[in-house]
Amino acid sequence: MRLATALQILAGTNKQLPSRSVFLACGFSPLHLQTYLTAHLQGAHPESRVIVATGLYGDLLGNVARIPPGASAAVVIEWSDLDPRLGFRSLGGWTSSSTEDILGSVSSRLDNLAGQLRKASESSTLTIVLPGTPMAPVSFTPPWMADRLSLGVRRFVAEFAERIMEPDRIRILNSDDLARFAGESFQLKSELENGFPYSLGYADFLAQRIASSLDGPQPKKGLITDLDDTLWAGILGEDGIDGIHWTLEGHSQLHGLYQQMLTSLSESGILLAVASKNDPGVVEDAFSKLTLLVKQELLFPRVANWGRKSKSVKAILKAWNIGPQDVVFVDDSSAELEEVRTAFPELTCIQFKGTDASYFHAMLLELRSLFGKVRLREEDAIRASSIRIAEQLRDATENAVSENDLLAGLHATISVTMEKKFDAGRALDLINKTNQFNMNGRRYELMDWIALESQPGRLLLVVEYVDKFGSLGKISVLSGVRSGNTFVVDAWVMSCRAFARRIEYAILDFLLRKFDLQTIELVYERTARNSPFGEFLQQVCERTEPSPVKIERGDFVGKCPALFHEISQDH
Amino acid sequence: MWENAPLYFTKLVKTIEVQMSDHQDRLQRCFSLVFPGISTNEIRDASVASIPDWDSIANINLLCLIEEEFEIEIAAPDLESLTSFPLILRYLETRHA
Repeated sequence: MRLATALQILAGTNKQLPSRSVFLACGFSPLHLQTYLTAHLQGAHPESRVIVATGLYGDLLGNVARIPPGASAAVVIEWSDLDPRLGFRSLGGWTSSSTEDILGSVSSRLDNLAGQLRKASESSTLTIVLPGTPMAPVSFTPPWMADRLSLGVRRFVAEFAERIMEPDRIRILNSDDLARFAGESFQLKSELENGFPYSLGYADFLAQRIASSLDGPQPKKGLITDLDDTLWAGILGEDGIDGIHWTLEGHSQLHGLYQQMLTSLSESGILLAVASKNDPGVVEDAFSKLTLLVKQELLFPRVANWGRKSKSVKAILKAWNIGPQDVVFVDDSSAELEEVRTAFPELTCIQFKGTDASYFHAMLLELRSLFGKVRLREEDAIRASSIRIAEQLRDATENAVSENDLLAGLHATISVTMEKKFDAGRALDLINKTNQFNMNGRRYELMDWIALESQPGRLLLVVEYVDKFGSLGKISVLSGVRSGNTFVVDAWVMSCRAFARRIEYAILDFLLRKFDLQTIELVYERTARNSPFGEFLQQVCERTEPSPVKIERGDFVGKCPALFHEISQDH
Repeated sequence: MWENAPLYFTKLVKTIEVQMSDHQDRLQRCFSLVFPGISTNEIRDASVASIPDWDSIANINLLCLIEEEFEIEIAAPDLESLTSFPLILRYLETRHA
């Protein structure tokens, strides 16, 4: 982004919009980094006016202490913050005798900084940028040779980063990723004249990375892969099982690496499926005989036919019950990609090129970028199996005499946990990424969420579900304020994996009984994607307006269908 | 050759004029991005003395924008003399002459 464009974005922002504040703590003059960061965040949040506040020049430690409680903040460290002699604005001497002194000073400054960052992270979410510009040539060694000072300083920085990292509260930008910037990151002239060390291009690049971290990544949820010349090299229908391969010896290692990546994605809860133009019998026969690097049961569903790929993709999206905007499709054929892209413009399509290693390397990074998660949760491990469970449930539904018979036969148990802590765990995660059964679509910043904890009468319920087909894990979160025999619910979501089991009814039933309530008020707001919640409201009280929608105990009892869940409660 | 001289000269002057006006418009755009509150007329006479918002930060932004827009690098010794719209315009014309 050009500086002119960034300034245009800032100038064009409506001053009447509600503000969203972010703090940028650095020891150098924030200048263009502040401008670019504001512009990138503004682009991602057109509904608010982004304000990036900064501290004082030359006082990184003090600026970290100035981070307002509750604010998201970026802390950008440069070498001169650790010892001015490592930068270019100080004339403190580059004598060889200063090595020990510099190392001592770096170590102690990093200790102080770690303490200050931990303190700040108690009330703020932080993104840390480690020093990225070249260190001043302090040592007597030639530039191609590593020296004791720079090795020592870098070791201290690496240890410091490892010590403070805490994915939910203190995120550290990957220095390897920042090093991919093509061009000069450092500009000595700007550093000397303005106290700003970065080139405009790098300031833009860094701001983009910081903005992504501050916003928290919204990873895609599923990947649909082609088989021939994608998951493996060769054409199954022509070459047969013995003719397909994915190894170094077969010059098809890229396919093996791709399979390895799919396994890794699956471990982080990404759904995998196959859409292939093939004979379904041949494909299933191959899967039963081959030992792929990605376990065959992780690829579900596997849709093989001679029809259009977009039809197969449609069937997979239906089985997964997620939208195309959350899915990536990988295929070696540009014609197939185009056909799918035309049918699902929101779906991300990536071409697989099994003979272009550098393209492939970039593709692996792209997949990590699209699916990368800040941390793994328990639910990630069971997501794929819960899709298979849903499929089994659908089969059972088709064979069941009645819905009641079916649900009674599930032997379902609902576990309700009354959470005391509002933290960055599964509850917030579920609220911030559920779209369909989401009462009002509200998203919460971590600090706003934590602040709810101190509200009198505020309750947080986390619901887990298990039946004879297996566990779905934590699938619903509900929060609100109880006052006497009324409960005002302002946050309620349920994973789409848990639909069609009457769990939502069981939750309301549990609340009415547990707290002896007369009324539950649901702060409902219609969004572009929460029609399942609206339909539920129609069934329970035949209206969706005015908000909050009141559900009286007597009315609910009359409308509630038969429930067969066993409820267990955990404090 | 002499017969063609006036035509050649006219064309040259026209090119310079277009270039000057082009410089002026582009410089004006840089000013309006850094000082969004001032009018076009005010920009043409703008100087450090006449614009209260023209502080050190605005100055850095303005000069970086000019470097970006005109694809030049302003040498450190020149920075101090670039304190008004007319002075910067003259500097740019000299650089592009």
